[in-house]
Amino acid sequence: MSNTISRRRFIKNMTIAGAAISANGILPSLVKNSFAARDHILIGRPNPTTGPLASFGEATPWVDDIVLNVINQAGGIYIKEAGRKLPIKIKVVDTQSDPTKAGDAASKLILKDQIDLMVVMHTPDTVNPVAAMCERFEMPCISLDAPVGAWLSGGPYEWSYHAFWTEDAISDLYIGMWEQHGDKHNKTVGVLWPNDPDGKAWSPIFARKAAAKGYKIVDTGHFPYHMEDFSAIIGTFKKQGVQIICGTLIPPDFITFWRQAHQQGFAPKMATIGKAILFPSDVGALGGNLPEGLLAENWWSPYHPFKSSLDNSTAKELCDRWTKETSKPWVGPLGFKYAGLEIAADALLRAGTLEKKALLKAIGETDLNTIVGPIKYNAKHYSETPLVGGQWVKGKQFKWEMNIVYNEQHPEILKTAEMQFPLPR
Amino acid sequence: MEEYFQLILNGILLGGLYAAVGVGLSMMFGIVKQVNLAHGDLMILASYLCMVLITHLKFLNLWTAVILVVPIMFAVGFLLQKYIMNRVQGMGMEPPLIVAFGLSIIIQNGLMLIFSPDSQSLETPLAIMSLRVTDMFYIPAIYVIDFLTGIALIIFLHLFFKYSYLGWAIRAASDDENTAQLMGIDTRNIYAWAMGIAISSAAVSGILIGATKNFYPHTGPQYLIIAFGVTIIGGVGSMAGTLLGGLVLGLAQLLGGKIFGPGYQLLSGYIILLALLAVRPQGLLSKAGRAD
Repeated sequence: MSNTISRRRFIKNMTIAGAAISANGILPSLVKNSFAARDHILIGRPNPTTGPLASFGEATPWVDDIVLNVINQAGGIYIKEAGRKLPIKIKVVDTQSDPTKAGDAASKLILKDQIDLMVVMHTPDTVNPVAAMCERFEMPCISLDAPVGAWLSGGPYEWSYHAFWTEDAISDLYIGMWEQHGDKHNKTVGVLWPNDPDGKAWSPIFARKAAAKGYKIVDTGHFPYHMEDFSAIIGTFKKQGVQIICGTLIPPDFITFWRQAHQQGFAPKMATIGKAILFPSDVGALGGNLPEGLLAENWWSPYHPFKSSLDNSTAKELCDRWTKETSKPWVGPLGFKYAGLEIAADALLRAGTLEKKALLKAIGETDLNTIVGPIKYNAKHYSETPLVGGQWVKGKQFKWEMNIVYNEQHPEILKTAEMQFPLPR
Repeated sequence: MEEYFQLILNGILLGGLYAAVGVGLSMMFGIVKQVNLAHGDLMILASYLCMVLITHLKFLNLWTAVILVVPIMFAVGFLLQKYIMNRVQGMGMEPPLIVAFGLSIIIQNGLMLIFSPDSQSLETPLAIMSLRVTDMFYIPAIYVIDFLTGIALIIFLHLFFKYSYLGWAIRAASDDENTAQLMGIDTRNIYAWAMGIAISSAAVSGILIGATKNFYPHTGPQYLIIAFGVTIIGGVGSMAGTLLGGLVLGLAQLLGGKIFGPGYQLLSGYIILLALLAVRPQGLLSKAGRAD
């Protein structure tokens, strides 16, 4: 394979790049005035359909269909330019779980498909590049499901509004869970922070807050994805007498870590793990009895007491329908997928127009009780959604099910079980 | 000191697994002069195949399923080479590379369509069993199996190339295609056999990976990189070199991770790789003269 760039190709590339740069100045104005006599409202929806984040994106078409059915049954939403109700259509494009491709997909949706509104969610790798494109091309963007701090790191935003929990909330949640059994462990916490936006955002906050509560943090440093072996870290944890594990890892890395911890006789009393054990399939892949008692953040479940603003259906009804139609257990992203479109429909309804500035203003004024809870954006363009503590236990319907075991910060979400302590050996 | 025992043991055992992952790639690279970019994906394909067989044929367990998975993957490799790769063989380095790349994308997306993006693993109680020596030193069962299987695989391939007629024919075809053809060897067919064997070895490592860790439709490329590392350190096409390459990479990662911190674990392995490329570009055990 030849990697050298010929002079001709270099010039060609530079010409294209130059053209692209100069076109950027013109294009937004073209886009703005492009309301053609289209017979529908088009929402762009970059989605991690394939790649490592695919479990987040899996249910997108299923939820989209449900929501669109409800909205379009009544003929859609009144738009004054058209002088009548227009149905909503959604164009889903695959980001391949890659931030660069997510940005490309977003710019194509804006420039080529001439969407009216962007709705995007599922981790900073999907949300941040898309929000950046929306800023550049002045496209209203509703984003969800990426920790607020990681999202803010791409800001400030004028055209994007976001909803999810903050890094502050997750640290309060995990430390709160440790404190529940504060007299039964030695307050020594081993942390697992990968070298990614989440790992970097969580580590200083946890270090500060845990220290304030008298915890000793054992941190061996940030590590890259796809560690094939955690023996060095496990050895250090054993030596330092670690009794609590805390981290936010990608699922395959946590599976390697947790299996090796068992192989090497390391048995902490508690484990609060972000990201890696959100999905029942990842939990099941741990194998054996390994998932029993693991604690995780829960951002949405069938036990959340919230209802759809569209048809009053409950969180539980949505989950039951998913399980009935797909034979799969509920997953957190279901609710956020639904809520994203609720916010979009509500804003479109109040704006009554596809004019971008008016639509953006309507999104900013959102005050809506959605299926993931109340959404009202603050001055920094985000709205916090509630966070509670979940614990994996052997289930009745599925092999592993998550109970809500800690709700100190959001008592409106009821506990479904008491926390098991300590982890079984 | 005790904790170094654990690291050195784990490094060696992991190295055996790495060697099993790399041996098929090294063989095709060194002997057929073909870079199979789909090597990792074919491995994962075998993991899924094994999973399906275990779920649907109740009388099979993880280890007996190998008896079915390996021949099926052999056939996949054989047919793949015979009907697809051989068509572009001899057109230079790039066309087979691109075909393999396309194949990699097709396998990943095909697996995702059928099995969804959910995480899977081949469940075995061995995955968390271990033998306790001291509090700081345990011998993990599954890694011992990985290591022994890797060694067995490499010894088998070494003997195969050294003593069997087919092994000679494969080496002859790769050394000098024209002369081999004059001697009555159907080189195209020979390449198909070589690919079949390479993919069988990938199938074995796919099952080991599935039992040791978890896998997704897109896990393949992660192991392709390891296979490349092993191949380059050990020397392209050398069976013993692959084993040595695996051990060097495994140990470098674990000791590097301990000495410089876990952030440098993966990096340490690749620094060794770069250093070797600088002083011995043909790899540790490749015959120097043959690096063409």
